[in-house]
Amino acid sequence: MIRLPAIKIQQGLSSRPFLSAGSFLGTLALALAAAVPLIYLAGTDPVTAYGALLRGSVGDQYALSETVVQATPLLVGGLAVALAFHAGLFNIGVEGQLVVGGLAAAAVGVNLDLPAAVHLPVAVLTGAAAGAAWAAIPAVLKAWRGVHEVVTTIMFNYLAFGLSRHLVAPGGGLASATQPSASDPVADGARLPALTETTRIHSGVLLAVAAVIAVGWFLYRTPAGFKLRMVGANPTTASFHGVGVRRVQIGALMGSGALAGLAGASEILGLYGRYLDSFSPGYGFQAIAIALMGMLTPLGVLAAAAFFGMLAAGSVGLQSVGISRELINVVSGLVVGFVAAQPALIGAYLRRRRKRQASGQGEDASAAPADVDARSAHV
Amino acid sequence: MTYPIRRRYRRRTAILLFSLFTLSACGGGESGNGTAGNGGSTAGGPHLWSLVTDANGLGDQGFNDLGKQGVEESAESLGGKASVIQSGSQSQFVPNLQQAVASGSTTVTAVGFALADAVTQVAKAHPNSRFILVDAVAVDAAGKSLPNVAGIRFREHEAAFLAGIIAGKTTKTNKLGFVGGVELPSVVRFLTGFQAGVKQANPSASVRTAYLGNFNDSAKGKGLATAHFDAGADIVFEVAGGGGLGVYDAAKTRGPGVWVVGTDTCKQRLAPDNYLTAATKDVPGAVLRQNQAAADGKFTGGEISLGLAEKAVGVCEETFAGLPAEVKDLVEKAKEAVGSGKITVPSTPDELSRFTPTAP
Repeated sequence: MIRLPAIKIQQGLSSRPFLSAGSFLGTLALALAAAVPLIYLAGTDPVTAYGALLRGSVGDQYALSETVVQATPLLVGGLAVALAFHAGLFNIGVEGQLVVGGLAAAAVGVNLDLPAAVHLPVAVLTGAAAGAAWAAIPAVLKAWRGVHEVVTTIMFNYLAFGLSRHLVAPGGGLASATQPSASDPVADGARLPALTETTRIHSGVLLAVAAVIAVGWFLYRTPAGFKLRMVGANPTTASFHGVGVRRVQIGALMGSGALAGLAGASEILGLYGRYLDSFSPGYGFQAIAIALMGMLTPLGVLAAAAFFGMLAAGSVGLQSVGISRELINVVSGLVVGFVAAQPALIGAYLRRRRKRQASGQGEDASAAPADVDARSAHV
Repeated sequence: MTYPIRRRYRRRTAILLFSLFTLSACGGGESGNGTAGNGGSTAGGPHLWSLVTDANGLGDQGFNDLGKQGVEESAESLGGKASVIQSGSQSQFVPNLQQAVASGSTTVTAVGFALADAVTQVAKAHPNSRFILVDAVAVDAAGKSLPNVAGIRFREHEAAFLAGIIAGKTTKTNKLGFVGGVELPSVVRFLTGFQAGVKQANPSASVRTAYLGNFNDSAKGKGLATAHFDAGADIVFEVAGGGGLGVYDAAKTRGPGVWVVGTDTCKQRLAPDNYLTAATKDVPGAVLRQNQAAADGKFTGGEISLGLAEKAVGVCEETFAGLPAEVKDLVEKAKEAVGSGKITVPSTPDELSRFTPTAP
């Protein structure tokens, strides 16, 4: 099994709210600052650019509602990635699980004729179940055969994309006669109702908030969540303490898949009202960056998803002042880059401070102990 | 997994610094609020011709770029300004259309069937705004088309029919290939029209078909085209967007003797020695036509079908110099016959199976 040191340090941070909030904001600030020269190169200034970005994302009620709409799938997807990470599993298959969740929810919404009171719950739960099922084979392969989940979940993404395209291609099981690459509209009873008249906020947002609370409660307040984190921290130790590592791994990956499926179902049943082949621009991949940026804690993921939601919603504002929307990709790329560099940066920061501490205390305790400390921060 | 951090105040200073940094960025943003006022009402003022792209955005060498050309030509010949709002994903269609409406656009053009739902939603909420939807028709729940949305549908099969005639007459091996992006109705219309044209010109020729599964994998496009050439085809028809670039690559690698038939516009420069012709689709012209109507106060919604008769589709004639007179003559005759309704070009595989060539 490949160990990922970066994740270890993130988990260490999650128990230190001040340091984690600081490094969260620091990552953001560094990324925004690093984009400044590029903004000048693009022929405008950061005040105009970031001003337009803010206006488009939080400037008025509609802008704010769009930030919420854009953040919703990222939030639930981010939780899915984080849940698997806590068990030491790297679920890159969130994108595929999300697509399958959307497909399953649409299939129920379009094809079943149920009373409204049960149609919606059945559609949502089927979406989540489909996501979990899509993660089941990689989970079992991982737990019983040691096949690395990174490889299998990536492969399952392609299977999901192919399945989606096949089902909505002409003659496919879900294809609409009038709209290409899409299913027919789902029944009204299966729609996640809108929360307001004038915005696109739908009740999928409530599901997302419920998911934040549920994941937080599960991870930190239940024995099962403790076992899951124990397996993530050290499977050998967990096994010695009587934890069924295989069961935990399978459960974690399938739970992660269920969240991803929920994210897909919520988009289809809430935002679009029909399955669209290209509904996800890669939410499942952005979710990985969001989970890491949020240091794998539910609240951190919420903050990171809100930020990426702002970027997505703010692109309209940017373009209204004549700035290319590519700037959004630049900023989010920089954020991802700094998130990846975070462990190294924090390591360097800690090393420096250790050194200063050492030199403050005396000349004899200088280089060697500082080095050891720095290394321990990476383990 | 704990760090021996003792000097807490340092950490707090760091956090404080970071917060200040972020806050100053935010503060700067707010001051920008007052300076760049863009929204508001330009109604009655100079025209604003807006375009909202699909998720592929500009630079796709296809639909979105053609739509941009359409609004720019409109600004040039009708006055006013052109504006393009790019979408990064499906979820941005509605807010982008809202933005286009809010900025007081004379018309809002949306390219691609993917925007159909979003245009329907926004057009219903703004019955006084005018929309142009390319490649789809906006209908309400009852199936009635919205009066403020002009849904433009091209009869691509008519253009491909002419291209098929040229290809059928040009092939030496009697084998042709087709590389499509995704099996969408518009792509299928291109294919069936092409097959009908080949059948019309050269009944003994056959067309091998293959799809990429997307519109951007040019490596796969090259692979599929090469497979067609390996199987003996000497002409490949590409309807694969960015993925089609690989088809030109494959033809260039083969050198002279194999041909590519393109789509949408003349893209001769992609493979000058191998470019046979293209089945073209005049998206800019169609957008301009609707904008002209809007400027004259004659804008009407509903489905607008454009084909050879309207001169909105056709073949790339820049390469005609290299064609034998007999072929050019045949194309002219077919153009007339289709335009006048003497020949009905099939648009679905089903219609194709019932299609029997008639002398134009």
